[in-house]
Amino acid sequence: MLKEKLAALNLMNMNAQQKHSLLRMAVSIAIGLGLATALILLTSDKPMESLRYYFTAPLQNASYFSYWVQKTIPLIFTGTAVCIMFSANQFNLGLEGSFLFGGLVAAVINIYVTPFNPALGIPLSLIAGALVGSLITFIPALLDRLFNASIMVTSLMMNYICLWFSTYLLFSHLKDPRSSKNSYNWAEKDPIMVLKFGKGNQQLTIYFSILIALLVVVLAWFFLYRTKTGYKLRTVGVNHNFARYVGINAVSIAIVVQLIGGAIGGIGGACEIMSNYINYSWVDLTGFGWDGVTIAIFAKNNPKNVPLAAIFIAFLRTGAMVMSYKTNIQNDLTSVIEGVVILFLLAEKFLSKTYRKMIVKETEENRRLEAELQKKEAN
Amino acid sequence: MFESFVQILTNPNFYSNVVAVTPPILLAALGCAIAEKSNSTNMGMEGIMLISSLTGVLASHYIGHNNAWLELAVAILVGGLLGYLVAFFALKLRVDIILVGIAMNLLGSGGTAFFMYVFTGDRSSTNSLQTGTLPQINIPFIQDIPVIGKILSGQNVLTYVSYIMILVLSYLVFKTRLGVRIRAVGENANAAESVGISSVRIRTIALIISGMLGGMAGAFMSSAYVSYFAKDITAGRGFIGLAACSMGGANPVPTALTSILFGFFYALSNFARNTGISDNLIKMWPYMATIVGVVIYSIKKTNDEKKRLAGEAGEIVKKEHRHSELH
Amino acid sequence: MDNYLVMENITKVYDNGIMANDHVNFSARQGEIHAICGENGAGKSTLMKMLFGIEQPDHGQIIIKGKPVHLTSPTKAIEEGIGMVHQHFMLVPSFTVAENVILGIEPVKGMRFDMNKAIEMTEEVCKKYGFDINPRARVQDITVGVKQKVEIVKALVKGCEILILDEPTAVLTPQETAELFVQLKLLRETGHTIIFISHKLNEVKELCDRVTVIRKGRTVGVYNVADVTEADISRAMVGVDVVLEIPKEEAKPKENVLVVKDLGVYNDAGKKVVKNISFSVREGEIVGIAGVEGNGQRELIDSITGLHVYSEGSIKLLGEEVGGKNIKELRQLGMVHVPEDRMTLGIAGTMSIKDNMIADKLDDERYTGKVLNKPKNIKEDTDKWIKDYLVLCKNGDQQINNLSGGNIQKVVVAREFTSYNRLLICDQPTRGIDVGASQFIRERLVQMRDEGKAVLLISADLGEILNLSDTLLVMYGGEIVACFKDVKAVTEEDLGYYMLGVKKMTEEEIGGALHA
Repeated sequence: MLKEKLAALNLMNMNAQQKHSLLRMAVSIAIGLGLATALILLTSDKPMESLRYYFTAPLQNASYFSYWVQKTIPLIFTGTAVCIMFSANQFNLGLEGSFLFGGLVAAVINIYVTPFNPALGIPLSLIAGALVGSLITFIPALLDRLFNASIMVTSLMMNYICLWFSTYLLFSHLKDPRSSKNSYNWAEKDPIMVLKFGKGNQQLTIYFSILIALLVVVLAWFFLYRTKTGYKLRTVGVNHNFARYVGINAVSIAIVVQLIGGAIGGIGGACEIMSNYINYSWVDLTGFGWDGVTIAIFAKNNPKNVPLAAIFIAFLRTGAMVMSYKTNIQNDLTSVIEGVVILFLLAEKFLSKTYRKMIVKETEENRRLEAELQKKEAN
Repeated sequence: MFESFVQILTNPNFYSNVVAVTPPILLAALGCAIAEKSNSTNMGMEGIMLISSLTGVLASHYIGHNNAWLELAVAILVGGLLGYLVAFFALKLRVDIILVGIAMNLLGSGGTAFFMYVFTGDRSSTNSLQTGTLPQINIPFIQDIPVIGKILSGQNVLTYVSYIMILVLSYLVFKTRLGVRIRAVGENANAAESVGISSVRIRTIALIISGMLGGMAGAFMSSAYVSYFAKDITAGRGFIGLAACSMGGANPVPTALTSILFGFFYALSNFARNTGISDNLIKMWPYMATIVGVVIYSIKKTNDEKKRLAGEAGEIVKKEHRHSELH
Repeated sequence: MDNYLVMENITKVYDNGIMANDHVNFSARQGEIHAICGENGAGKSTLMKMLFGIEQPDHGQIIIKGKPVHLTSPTKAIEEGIGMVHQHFMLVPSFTVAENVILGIEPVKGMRFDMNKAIEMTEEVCKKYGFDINPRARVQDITVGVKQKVEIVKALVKGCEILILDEPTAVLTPQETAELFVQLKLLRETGHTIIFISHKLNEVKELCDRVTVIRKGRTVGVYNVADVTEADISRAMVGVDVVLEIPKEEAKPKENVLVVKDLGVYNDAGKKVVKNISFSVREGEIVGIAGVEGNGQRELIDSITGLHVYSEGSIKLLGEEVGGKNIKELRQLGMVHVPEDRMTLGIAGTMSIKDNMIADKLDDERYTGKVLNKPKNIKEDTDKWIKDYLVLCKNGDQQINNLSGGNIQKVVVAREFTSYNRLLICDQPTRGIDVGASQFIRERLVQMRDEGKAVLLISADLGEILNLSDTLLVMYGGEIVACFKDVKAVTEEDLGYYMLGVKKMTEEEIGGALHA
């Protein structure tokens, strides 16, 4: 058993396909990081200092470390949500809206339903966030089911509807008259889902939502790879005609998947609001929905790879954020890097010449071995 | 409330505003349509608009003495290049084209914010580098017609160009050799390949044209009515364009009409202040209209398909009948 | 001129590691019709794709008229005077015939595409080579035979001298085939070289001058067609003499399992394609349905398996009406189905062999609990099936796409035959797979019959259907036109008359298909 596992880890025993996929991942990330380095060197007044911040900031002190964790959590939520939807081949882009509404409904609950009562407010918000989040992805799914309307387009539109509706709600109803852009508060000083220790640079924040995020990852993985619904869902994703023919109800699976995806997005939004704010002030889409797509691509649609992918992206973002405080570099650098890495990571034909050489060699080798075996048997 | 709407709808300024706010959506939608005709979904339209807009502004400021025409030319050029980039990754390196689009949007939003700061030191807009705007044009004769003149005349020159693009695109798609090839590739790429038409090449050309239209849309944002670039200046117009294209079935004229419908709702939200409805709520309308539109389009398409199939069956029956009569 | 077209030592390895061509040699002379024969998967199509520039060889070279050429794209191939008619038509449905014909060399007048010139060019070629086609008709409205002609005109208009035809008669009626052959012989007269890929040895005998046989990616030999018999070619193709006959005993049918009564089915276009069909399938018998494709078999099978809705008459599976039940419920009743199109309907390509084998058993308590799966049981059983059904693979976790067609079909059959079943519906179960796998699947079918299952077999392979069926029905024009109770007495010629609608049995004889 142990031997088998060791063998599985051994590079020499991988077939050409696996080796190539790993190589592509490594080269893509190297290209991205190389580009980041080049851009920093070219545009920074203090290039060495900037680079140091960019690549090591999250490890420099407790405060930056906490920021790293904070940035990781929403990525885990939306990344997992997209993994599930992509596994069933459902291209619902409404997660932006789910996330936003998850946050909004958590704010409403903590302000009006259970004011200053986090023990009730947190669980209630999570449930409400899940419900509202799934509603947002459900509408496009339903329209697709009923009228065959493009999910991609309707879900994109849902995001903007969510944005303007939440903005309307904020300014027309939730806003504290004493403030120009914030809602009423629901906590005195710290957000309700965190504990803070220390001060200044050494302030360490404990995020309870990371536990929820990891739980979601584990459940999602079990759901996809160890349950029959998950199995059916992946079958639908690979070939929906086949799924129908073996008696799987592809339509209901597709809808279930989008409900789950939206729910996870909504929970993510609720966690985000309750972990980082004491009042509501979102007037823009958060971008975490789109990030989910990036994370799912990095994770190859498998939830078990999501935390690692999220940690990686969040590391770069934290580095960029610190760099932009300390030096003259804009933190948006990271989205550029993400875009570039995605492009190369997904490029089937990228490094295809090396791949062809590998596969031709491997096949010829296999043929030779087979022939030898046959000869041996014949003797 | 009802009265205030009547007031808006009878106000020529409102229609003038519709004409003025439609072009970026229209150009984006036409760009998506030509790509879609060759079977490429240009999801990266938003990113292309942003990048070409910023590069246009920067080029105009640093090398073109703030000339707005140069800004337009550079934006179109950059848009074309980005279209090529989408094609390169999607068609040569075989990345899913939707995901290329998403990557393009990441590059667009992140890259423009990054470089805007590099060049201006400003995190929100390029206000510090004022560049020119394109001229407004009064059309002789038409400007003297009451109401109509007020609506149609005195618009930005790029506005007129963008409406002319509807005709240009229709001609291109339906009357030229390139158009024949684009439609052939879009409908059956294997058929085109089998006669030596490289579907990759044709789709690349379509994406380059798509990118150039996106560049024009980007330039419109920063040189028609304002003279600077701001962070996320396109505010989702690229996506709206994609939706309009989807609703218009990727045919230039229906796509254009849909774009104008969106322009109508955009203008409505601009005029909403005196209706008593929050402008944030009215800003939702174009998106809701899109969803309704896409649903209507889908129902129609399904019905047409059914009718076409039924018609075909009728044809076959007729032919069989004729056949048997002959024998 | 023996070096008119030479393909030398061609080797091609596909991305999934399959070696399709292994040092293949092929040559053709000017003005001959040269057949390429080989079993499915022997590498014929791959070889031709390389000649038409769709694929590039990993080793070897192609020489045309003594000059080595690099055919990196179809454009290059067309420039070298090569044209190809593919197995699946390469036409744009919404375009007219003329538009399709001139696609790639569109005439223009200034900026504008010149439609009149296009029609003129099409008419000119049609006249020169004697094709009767209306250049203004839309391709979506014309018949298959005409589409085939359009394909040939398309190649000729570009000045092709070497014409490749990939299984051109597969979709044609006998009349259309005869017409095609006349046309091809005319082209040979005008100095064209025709490469004719086919399975049908009688056609090769009738039409071709020489034949190259390919087996498992290697060239076996080149023969003058006049010097060899069909049996010779067949032996070269498969290496051993094909033993088709499966030994089987007299059927002992019992109770009705499937009863179809007065069934009427409309297709998606609203045309009635199945007309008042009645028959039954009993335990322990194989009922075969023969017929030229497109005579309602597709819709009949889809109706029985729950893929298509029927509106008239009834289909009863073990006494229960099929209509209104979903596929899952039908499968629970004991219906299993080996579909005709295994790649789109029969498998989930990027999933493992194991996953494909249990796809229809997900609600079985042995494999799944209330929530979680039972991986140990799944592995145990699928490993056993892989062994039982002789699936050649590394292990059950291998992606099914990487298997050969025959092994994929074995996985499909294994999945269906190991599920709870009373009625087996086998639609073209051995189409396009190697002889060994076909033989194996046929033996299994007889074995299942002997175990008391009801089997409904649809096959275009007349040898197969005559051999396996206990009762044989023939469909023509959406109706059953013949019902043979004594299948051994039926000759292929006789069957042909019914399949082509020349003869029809009496109502009474046909009524024998339905057992009370």
